[in-house]
Amino acid sequence: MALVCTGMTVLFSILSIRLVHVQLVQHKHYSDAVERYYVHKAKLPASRGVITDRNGELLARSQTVYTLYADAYHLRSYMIGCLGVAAAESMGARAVRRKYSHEEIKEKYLERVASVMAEPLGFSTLELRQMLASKEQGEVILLKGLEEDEHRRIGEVLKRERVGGIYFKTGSRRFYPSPHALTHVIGYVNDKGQGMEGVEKIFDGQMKGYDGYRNIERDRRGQEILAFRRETVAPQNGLDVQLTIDMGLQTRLEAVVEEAWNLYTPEKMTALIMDPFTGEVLAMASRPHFDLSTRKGARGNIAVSDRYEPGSTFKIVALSAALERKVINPHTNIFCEWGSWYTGGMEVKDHHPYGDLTAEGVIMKSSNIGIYKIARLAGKKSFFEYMQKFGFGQRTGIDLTSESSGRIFPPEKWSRPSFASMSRGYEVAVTPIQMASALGVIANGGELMKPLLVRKITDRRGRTVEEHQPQVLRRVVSEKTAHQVREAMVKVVSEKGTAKRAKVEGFLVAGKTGTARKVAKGGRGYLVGQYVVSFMGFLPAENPQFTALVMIDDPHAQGIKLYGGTIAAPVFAKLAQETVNYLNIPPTITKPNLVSSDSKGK
Amino acid sequence: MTPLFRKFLGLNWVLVFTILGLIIFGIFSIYGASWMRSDPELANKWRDQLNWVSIGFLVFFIVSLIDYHWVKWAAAPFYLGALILLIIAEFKGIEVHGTQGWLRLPGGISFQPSQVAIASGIIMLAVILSHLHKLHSVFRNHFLRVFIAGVVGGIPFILVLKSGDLGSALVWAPVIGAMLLVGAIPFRYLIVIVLSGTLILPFAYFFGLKDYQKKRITVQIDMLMGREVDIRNEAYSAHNNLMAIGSGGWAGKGFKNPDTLNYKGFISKDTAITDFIFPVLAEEHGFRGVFLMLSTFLLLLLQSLFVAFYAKDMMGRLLVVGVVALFFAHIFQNVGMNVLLMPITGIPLPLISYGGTFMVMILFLQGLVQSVWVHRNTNQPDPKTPKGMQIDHLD
Repeated sequence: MALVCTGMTVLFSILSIRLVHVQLVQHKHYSDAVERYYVHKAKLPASRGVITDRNGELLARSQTVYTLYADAYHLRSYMIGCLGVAAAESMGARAVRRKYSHEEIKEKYLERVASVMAEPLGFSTLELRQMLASKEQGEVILLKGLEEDEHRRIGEVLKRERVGGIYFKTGSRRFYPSPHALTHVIGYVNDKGQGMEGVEKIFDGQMKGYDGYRNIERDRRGQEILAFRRETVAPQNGLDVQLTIDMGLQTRLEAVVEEAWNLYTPEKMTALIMDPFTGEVLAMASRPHFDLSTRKGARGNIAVSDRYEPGSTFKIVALSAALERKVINPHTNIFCEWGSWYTGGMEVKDHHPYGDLTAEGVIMKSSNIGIYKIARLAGKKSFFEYMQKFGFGQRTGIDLTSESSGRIFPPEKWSRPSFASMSRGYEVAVTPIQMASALGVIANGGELMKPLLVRKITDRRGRTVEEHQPQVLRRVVSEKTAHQVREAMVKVVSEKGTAKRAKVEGFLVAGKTGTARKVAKGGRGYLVGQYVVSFMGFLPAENPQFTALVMIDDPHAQGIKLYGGTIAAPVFAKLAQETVNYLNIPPTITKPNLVSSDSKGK
Repeated sequence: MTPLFRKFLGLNWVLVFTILGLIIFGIFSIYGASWMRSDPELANKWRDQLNWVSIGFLVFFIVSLIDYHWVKWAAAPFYLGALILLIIAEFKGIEVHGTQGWLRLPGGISFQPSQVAIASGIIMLAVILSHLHKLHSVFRNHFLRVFIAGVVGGIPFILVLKSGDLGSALVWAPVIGAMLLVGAIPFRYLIVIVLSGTLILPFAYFFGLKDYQKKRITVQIDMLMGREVDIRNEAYSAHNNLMAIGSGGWAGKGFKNPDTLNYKGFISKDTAITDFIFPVLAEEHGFRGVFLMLSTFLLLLLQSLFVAFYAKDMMGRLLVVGVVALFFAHIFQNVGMNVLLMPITGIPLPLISYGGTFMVMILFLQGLVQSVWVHRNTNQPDPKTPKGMQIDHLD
């Protein structure tokens, strides 16, 4: 009796000790294990913000896509296998367990999944069977990029056929309605959802939002228990970015650029349209570019990253400096040495020989000797000061990736021919966007605007989070000087000027051509017969509505000389005409044939 | 006062209330383990259990108030009847919740003859061990007594084992052992039995067990040793049960807390109210709840042994000891398998687990214990002290 009594008590104590061990000593271990095994942290992906143009037209949006995968380990699980085979042979799971061995159940289940799922997934049974058997553990990706309707359709099949071990993963894909437009500005998003280029990269932090998560629990069949969802942190969707780009204008610009690209087969080219008063970029396109949906092609945005020697378009800097310092006025006579001038041990040449030209005439005819003389009148120091004031040598700070700062050297570092070279746009490296901003100074009456690409950033409810206001960086020249330079540029686009092909019916156009010999690779010397041609201008000259710049690097053409005035100016004219049509700008002059005489009269 | 009412008042009320308390906790636990089920039949099992408890208590009080000496005459037919039922179950038995050897009665009630067999076996052994030697002096031989006890216990044991219900078969061992120990078999004989049993054990493991049973045992040893096991397959229930118990901690996750493994379906919904009810309540009520329950069980068993101590004769004492051993075997095996101390074999936790016939059977056995208590003084107005133990000693 006593033995029974003690024996019982001792054994009960053993139970208790074991329970103390399991429930108290190892409690933490088991609690953690429960969290690990039964709670599954599911990511709730935030939806990336959209990109729209200034009118709200959608340029980029994110779409939820699904990846269908098989968990190889689950597929071979006894439990899932039993249930699957039971469904296939319409018998009880217990009967299955008794009838077949574990190995047989595994095999049968794989067969079953392959035969049931092959057709809905679009594989052959054999193919799917091999895919499922390809791994013992881990994930076998079956289908990628499934959209909502496919997801629903396959999900229903999985449910109906009681297939376990095959699941969906949620992902996101960036969708671009027009994949061939504005590619460099928009940029792209990589497979991990990170913005890699352009606006997608610059505003990645705001657009991506914050992923939420849900601690979900799965029951023994791996199904999520809907009734019991734990801690849920809702995803914060990304913010939307509205660009200053006008997609209507952009489409036209793309067409013009594409045409020139095919016509002149240059190495690269860019064109952009800006609002001179706000600094907003209305359209911007470069070639070569890439396809937004495939991401194949050249990704560098030439408009902001390309450093080139602008050539004569740069002459407005020297003119502005001299006018601003009042060392000349627009009608001051400059003697142009009949095309060749030896000075300081070097020769400065013009394409055509000129005698006396007014300061305006120097710009109109694009005389190198004339502009050097004007620059000398202004002085080295103030010439350099004005280059800086126009924004050369510094990044404009536009919201785009890989912007280059260009390069200008201070007078201390100049060599003997430097001053003459720089006055006509050599020995300086500028970017198209810098050049366009500088043009804006002349067009808007003397102020340098920061180029704007983004108007505002809004949240999903349309509330503005960030608004980008036009920003005056500095006054560069007085209104009077700007007006005088503008007058000179109007003459460029006259019958006598270098860019009569830039004319637009019904408008006074101000502009400047540029033709620079192409710098040899490696930066030493110039190539023969290869040029970087450009044209920049705005209209109507009296009250500029937009500025535009066309830069074509190394164009090829038969039968015409490769000048800014012959290659770039017609492109500009076409672009300006399209813009006028699109923006509905009323003509300012009624008799187009009187253009030159009118401008002379002012 | 009528004699019947005197008897009624003379019940061992401590024991009655202990049983009642455990039953109430049991119904509470069944409800806690199945209220969330969508299948109304399963969700209402606790109501069924209430019905069974009512029947059981009726049996309990009737048996309590009748002098247990009737079992002398009933033992043999009862035992033979149980054997016949076992044989029928062998051929016509059905499977319920994974265990074979169930019989279905015409009314739709199914029960396990193995449970009837163990009850009848306890009675039979008690009668044999206490009365056989009085028939003829040849039965005074201890070897013969052990042999007869072995045969009486062995036949149903083998029949139950054959039906595949290892758990129900194994409880015979402590029952026979405890009854032999108390039944005045000298200790030296028992040592021999225990030793030979130990010798048989390896053979039983390698030849007697089916592959899946062997696998189960090795997996459990692996888990205890902290080795890697496949928790999706063979270690599935062992792992989940242990997780449930361990994550319960000191205070448990609380009654009806949906954050339990049972709620989430990791414990099979059929066994969560029967064999695996322990992890469910350990998770809900924590160590303190489980400890309280086990203490109450210990109180029940010690109180029963107290009854055995005061039993009028050897038969009464053996009956009670048999019942105590059966209870103990069930509790130890059930709790032990859930904490990996014992191999997992389907066996219910008495008074707690859902199970109609089992409940009625154990209340019947507890009725016998009460009867031994109530009738300890009949024909013996001046009870001797516990020295009475030696009275029936033969040596």
